[in-house]
Amino acid sequence: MKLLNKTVQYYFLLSVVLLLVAVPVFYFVLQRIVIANVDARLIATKTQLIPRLQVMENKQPLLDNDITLEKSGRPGAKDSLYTSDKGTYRLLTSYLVINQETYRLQIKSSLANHQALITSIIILQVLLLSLLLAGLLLINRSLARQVWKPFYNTLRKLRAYKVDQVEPLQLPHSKVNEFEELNTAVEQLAERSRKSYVAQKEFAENASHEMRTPLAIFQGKLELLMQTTPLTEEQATLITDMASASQRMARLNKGLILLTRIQNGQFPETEEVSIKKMTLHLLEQYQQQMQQKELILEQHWEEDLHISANPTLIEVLLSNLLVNAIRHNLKGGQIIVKLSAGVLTVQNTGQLYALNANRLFQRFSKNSADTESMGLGLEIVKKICDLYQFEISYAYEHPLHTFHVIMKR
Amino acid sequence: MKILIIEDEQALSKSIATYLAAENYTCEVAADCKTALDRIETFEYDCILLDISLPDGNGLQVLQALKRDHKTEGVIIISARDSIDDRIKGLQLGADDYLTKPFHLSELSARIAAVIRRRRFSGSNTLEVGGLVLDTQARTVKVNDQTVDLTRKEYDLLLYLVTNRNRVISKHAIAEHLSGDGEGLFDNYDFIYAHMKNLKKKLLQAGWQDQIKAVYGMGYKMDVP
Repeated sequence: MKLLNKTVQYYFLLSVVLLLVAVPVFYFVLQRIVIANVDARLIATKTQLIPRLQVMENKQPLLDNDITLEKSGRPGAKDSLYTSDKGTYRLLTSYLVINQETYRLQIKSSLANHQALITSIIILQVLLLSLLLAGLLLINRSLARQVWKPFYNTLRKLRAYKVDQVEPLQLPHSKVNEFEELNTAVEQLAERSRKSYVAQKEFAENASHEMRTPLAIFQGKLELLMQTTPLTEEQATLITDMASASQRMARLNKGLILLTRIQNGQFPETEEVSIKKMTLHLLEQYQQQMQQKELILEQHWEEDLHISANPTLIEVLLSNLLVNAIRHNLKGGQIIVKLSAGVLTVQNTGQLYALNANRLFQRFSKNSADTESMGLGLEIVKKICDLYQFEISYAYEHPLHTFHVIMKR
Repeated sequence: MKILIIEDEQALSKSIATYLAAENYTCEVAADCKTALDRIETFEYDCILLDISLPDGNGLQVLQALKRDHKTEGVIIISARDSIDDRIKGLQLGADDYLTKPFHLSELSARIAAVIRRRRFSGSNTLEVGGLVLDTQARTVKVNDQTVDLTRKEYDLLLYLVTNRNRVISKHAIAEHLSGDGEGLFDNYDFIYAHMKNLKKKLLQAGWQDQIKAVYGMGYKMDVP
């Protein structure tokens, strides 16, 4: 729930309670006042009437239809005031003794007018209160929106912020102290994480680069060692193992540098790339490897896709997918390459179980025991996809492992 | 033939020098820009191996100096930097080739041979080794005046063996050399065996005495007296 709605909600609740309680109470009090008023007037009329009735000779003078005077057998009862059944009259009943005879005097006063007045007042009150409430809500809403604007601005900027961005996080200034403090704190935090990210990235890149010279030395010395005579078979095996390890190290190093470069955005040059043409070219290049494994290649080209991107990266993307499909395939297996509706699909037979899709695109997550696989290929693929806003997904449907790359919507 | 190795890492320059010495190259080593500039002013070289990052400056200034003096030495840049920008910059300044560390010495040797062939023997492009006659321009091989029909890969493999003759070449180096810019993504050595088998068969059929030997599964060696 939005903070804005939260405060408004409380205001609303209070107002409703106030309305529900205040209106009946007000109504009740008002009615009491009116009745007291009427009663006072009735009593005043009675007091005015009594002396005149005492001296009255004949029976019916001065009386209008609101006042009745009747003989009554029951003397001496007290005055009584009550509201008539239907609530439209207020009645004062009094017993008088005139010329040794008991009379019952009844004075009534209509309440209908007063009732109408009360109703009008209550309606007016409800109306006023409602208006007040509505106004309050409106003012509160617009005010809150205004007051919280810097907060939402900060939030939006923060959401769009990525730690691998070259630009530091810049938040707008706010005149409200709390927001200014928040912005400063957030900016400092972002800057700290960005700096440590950059430092880490630089370290990775420098370390990868610095590693190359010692690797070259190592590889060179190994090659010289190969030339020494006499060389026994035992020594040769040891040298071969070392050479394989150094080869892997060199490839790993290459992969890491490529990853860092993609993250650094060091492939700015773009040109129009034909996915079909490039894939066909790569497939031809890997023909030998496919033949070796006796793979059956199936191709479906429903269209050609031209995208504007860095050709080197697209080649890396495509070749990694194809090489994976070849490398992790079974002997005599199948590869299906399909391009339709902006989606490139690479399917291959392989292990008879699904790969862990969650870890598939992560660094060094090896799914096979294949020592030639470094576990960097798919991460590189993912990074290139991220860069060009392609969407990549993996699925296993017996017996095919499928990679979809949505390149164009 | 003289080669100047401009490289500050002694262990590496020593390896290169030792490897190349067996091919009758005379190698000199310069560990910084200043020495390198002194050397190229005084002597003539057939090929220069140039590391870009040197302790006292950028190796590219050596390249600029060569160009300024209109020297015709072939230059191969050997660098730990492998971005396309670096490559283009180096090649634009007049380098003949660009090799990224780590590299195989056999690959370096093949590249040097190619550069020297291009620079020096513009007239004749034939290599005569152990009964084989390779025309590096037409990319053909003759045995006993009879042309052997080789595929591109087989020819590349043969040329690689010939330039590194009398040396053991590791199967890794061969795989990387043959896959070219394919980055050696596969490291599948079966295809080397296949190429090697075909190459040998074709040469034998043409009457060549086989001088290519496998060395303990480590690599191959072409023995030529």
